[in-house]
This record gives sequence, C-alpha cells and structure tokens, in this order.
Amino acid sequence: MNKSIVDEVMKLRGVRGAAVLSASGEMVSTTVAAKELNEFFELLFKVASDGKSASALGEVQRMFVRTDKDEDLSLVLKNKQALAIVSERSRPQNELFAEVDELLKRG
Amino acid sequence: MRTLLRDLGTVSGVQCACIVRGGEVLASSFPETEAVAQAASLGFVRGINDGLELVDRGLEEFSINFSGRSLMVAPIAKDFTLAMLAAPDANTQLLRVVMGSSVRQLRRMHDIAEKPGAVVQPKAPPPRPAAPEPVAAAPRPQPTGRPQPPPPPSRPQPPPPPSRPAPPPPNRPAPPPPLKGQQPAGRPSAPPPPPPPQAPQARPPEVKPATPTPAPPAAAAAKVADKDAEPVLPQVLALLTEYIGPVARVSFKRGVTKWRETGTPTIGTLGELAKILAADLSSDAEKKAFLDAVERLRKG
Repeated sequence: MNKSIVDEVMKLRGVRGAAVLSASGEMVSTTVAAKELNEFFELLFKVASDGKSASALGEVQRMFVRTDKDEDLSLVLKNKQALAIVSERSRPQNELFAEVDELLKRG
Repeated sequence: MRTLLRDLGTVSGVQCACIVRGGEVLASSFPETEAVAQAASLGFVRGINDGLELVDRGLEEFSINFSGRSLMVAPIAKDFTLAMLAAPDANTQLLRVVMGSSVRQLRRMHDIAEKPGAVVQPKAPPPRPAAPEPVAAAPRPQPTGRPQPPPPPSRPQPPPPPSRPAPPPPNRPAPPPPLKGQQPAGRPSAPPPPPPPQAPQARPPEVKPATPTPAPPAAAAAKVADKDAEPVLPQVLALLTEYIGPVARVSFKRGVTKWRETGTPTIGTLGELAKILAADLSSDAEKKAFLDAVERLRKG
C-alpha cells in the first residue's frame, strides 16, 4: 500500500478523506483534515492489531464505524498496513468497500 | 433479554450475541467454547467506544470483518450495546436490520428513548427493578432474504410502557417516537416536559462538572482531580503520550477515573496514578522509566 492509494481513494464517490497507516501504526499520508480523526484511526489500528483479540476472532480485515456526525469511518487492513477512509454515510459501505478492494488489488 | 438473544440466535447467519452494559455482560448466548471470542469482542467494543469518546462522537453502529466472521455492534444507549458474531457467509444487510429491530426492542424494555446516539443517556446507571420477564416476540428476518437498505422505521407504535413500580421520576422520556433522521442530541420532541435544572452531560456518573463548558475527556477527567494535583496531570498525560502515542488519552482518562475511585487524588498519591497508567506500557523498562519520571514530576 503506497501513498498514491490515498489520491485514488479520494476520487471515489462519497469519500471525504483517506489516510495510510504503516505497519507500526504511524500515519504515513493523510488527507483527513481533522487531527482528532487521524488519532482515532491510529487508535482503531491499534485496536485492530491487538494480538489477543486477533487470535480469538481471526485477523481483522476491515473495520467500519458509523458515528452520529453523519460520517462513516473505515479501516481496511492489508499486509499489516491500513487504509483509513472517512466517507459520507449516504454511500453504501458495501459499494465503497468493493471499489476500495479493487483499488487495493491493482495497487 | 435471554429470550431476545435466543431468538436472535435462530436468525440465519447469527452465531451468538451478547448484551453489555457498562462493561458488564447482562445476557449472552456465547457458548462456553466462545468465551475468549466474547472477551475479545468486548475488548473491541470498549476500544472503539473509548476512541469515539475521545473524538467527541457518538456510536451508531460498527462492524469488524475478520478473516472468518464478523462482529456487529449496535448501541442501545451509552455504554449499553448489543454485540453479535455473524458467520462468514451471513447476509450482513439483513442482520443489520435484525439488529436494529432488536435494539429498538431492548430500548423499549429499558425505557430508553430512541436514537440516543450514544450521547444522551436518558436513564441513570442504577439498574431498574428488573422488568419481569417481559420479552416480546423476537425480531424475525424478512422472508424475502433480499438485502434491505437500512432499517425501515415503519413499525407500529409500541404500547405505552408498563406500569412502573415505585414513584416515577419527575421527568421520564416519552415512549419512542418515530426514529430515523432524528438528530441524536435531540430529546424526543413529543410533550415538552418542563426541563429539569439543566441535566449534566452525564459521563461517569459521579463526575459533577463544576462548569457547564464541555471539556475534552482527558481534561474533564483531570478536572475532577484534587487541586494540587491538577497542574501536574497534563504533564503526566504528555509523558504517557511519549510512550504509547495518542491512545494515551484513553488510558489516561480511564486511569484518572480509577485513581479517583480508589483513593484521594492528590499530588501525594500521584504515584498510584502512575502505577495504574504504567499497566498499559509494554515493557518493564518502560514502566520503570515512566514511574520514575512521574515521581520526578511529583517532587517538582
């Protein structure tokens, strides 16, 4: 997952911001303006990478959080890295994930 | 609640589910063999709730896809959630509808207004005098099996809440009015009850903010500490952040709360707070360095 994925994801309908987190959980590249959201994604990544939980339920592939602020926050994990996405809640998650998966396959 | 979970378990794709309030499992259909999975699920619920609290957002739903199955979580009220494990091949759209229905049912059972958005907590934590096994019929999936868009609000109005035991509190939220589209912070707009003297932003129950201005969670937690310790707390948070990054704010808030509960939060007992916080550090060397640094802070 390289930084250019962020630009590609930004072109998807309904996407407001995207970011890439490295395997160590650091934000490598982001277009998410709100600092607290970037921190939230870092936290989400940490939660996803928690070894105990992963061993009990399997490796986390995707996290999706719908908040009360008219936005969806998603984290897609691949090869220990993560792609974070802020999207409009009007955008169906299945559609969005399908397009993101497609991008990740190509990239 | 057990009946509800049992019925939920009959829905195709649902493996098991549990209802959690304030970290305590009120009811669960997780089998013994899935105890670890249940604990892990609760870990996720807690982590995500804490994170959202940090960014001042309420949870409407979340789901996690694992290599095998999915964890789906929907809030019933603040710190009160329904969590469900779904099979890999489950129709998640359908399950979202079923979950929505179950959540509404649970809200009715607990007299919780619709759409709390994890922000409004209509009822204080004290458990209600156990509603006598009232569980209505469990939600049934649409027989079509076709994926549905988000939960349809068309539902017959629930019957008025059953007669309550003791003297009713002066201001009880109206029974759930039609839902979707309501803003979370809004109270049910039905009969405008005489608002009680400005309800506090109920976070931890015992915290009574002196000022009405909402503070970030960490600061709010810090605010309640004893005056002499207060100036040092941001430095402790900064120290902790050096070790574990932004997650520190979550740990810090939780730690300060625990510190307050277990003793008197003063500069003299800062070491106790440091020990609580150090539990989140990964190595003994880090723990020691952190404890030493806090001790230096304490001595000024």
